[in-house]
Amino acid sequence: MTESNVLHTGTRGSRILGLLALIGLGWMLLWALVISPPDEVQGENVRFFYLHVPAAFAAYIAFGVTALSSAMYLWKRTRSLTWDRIAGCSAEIGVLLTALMLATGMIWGKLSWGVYWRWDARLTSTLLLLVMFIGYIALRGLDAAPDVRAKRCAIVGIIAFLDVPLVHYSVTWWRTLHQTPTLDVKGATIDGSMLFSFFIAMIAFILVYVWLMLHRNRVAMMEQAIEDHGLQIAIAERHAEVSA
Amino acid sequence: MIVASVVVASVVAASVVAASVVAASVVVASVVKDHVALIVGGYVLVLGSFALYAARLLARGRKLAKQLSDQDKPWT
Repeated sequence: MTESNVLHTGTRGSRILGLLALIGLGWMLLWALVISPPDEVQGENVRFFYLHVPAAFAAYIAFGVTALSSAMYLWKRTRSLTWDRIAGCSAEIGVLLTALMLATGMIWGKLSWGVYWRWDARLTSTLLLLVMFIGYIALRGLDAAPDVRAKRCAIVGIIAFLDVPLVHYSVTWWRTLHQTPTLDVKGATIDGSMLFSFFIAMIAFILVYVWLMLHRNRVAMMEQAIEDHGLQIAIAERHAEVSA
Repeated sequence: MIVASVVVASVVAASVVAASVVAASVVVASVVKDHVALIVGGYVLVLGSFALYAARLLARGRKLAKQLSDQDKPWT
């Protein structure tokens, strides 16, 4: 279409961030699989903790960003399609993280409980969260005027986010097979190298989320620009037809 | 020429990743004795998903960037 110099979505900052995320993941592997000791109760199965919980936490952040951006879109003072775009990008990454959280949780469950799945409060509310945000992404794909679509998606995004506290507190509000939180405001039930491994994994997952978010947002910006160019060309062609 | 370079680079990168996964599995298997396959499988699943999603994003970014001028890329 036009002459272009930059043919990627990277910048110096994003490359440094990507490198940090890779280093973080490398450190996570080293600490989670080699250095940290097996758990007294769970044995080696505890190594799923360093995957499953950071994935869950990063998914909460992703959906939190979606809900916040949706609220910013709905608030008239800050209404902008930029917020809608950010909400959509974050939801997509949140879905990936939630799917991984469920997958690792199911494998961990098979090793610990003997079954991949139980319809208990934590698992069911998490599945509901995944389904709602897949629905949210499907809604974004429907044909509608940008403002109408953004408004619908913002409302659905906020409603879907209401499930996040339900997921988090389900293990304390109801009797479930799932264990209670390892870390909360009262403290942690792990310490030493296990706690350190967990924090490294958390930082690595957050860095991965930020890096993916940065690139997904840039891709979405270009998709929008191409859509706008297409619309401008279509309008110009229509004008030409009318004048002829 | 560019396509051939990309294909060669992709094959080399895939081989390096595969060799790393095998090497990591051997190291992990020597440390973790119980349920090794499932634990390693879980890590491969998560890291592999991140890698695939990231590769898809970068490829889509390159494809779209070819169709636009730098004015449409505020990060440039």
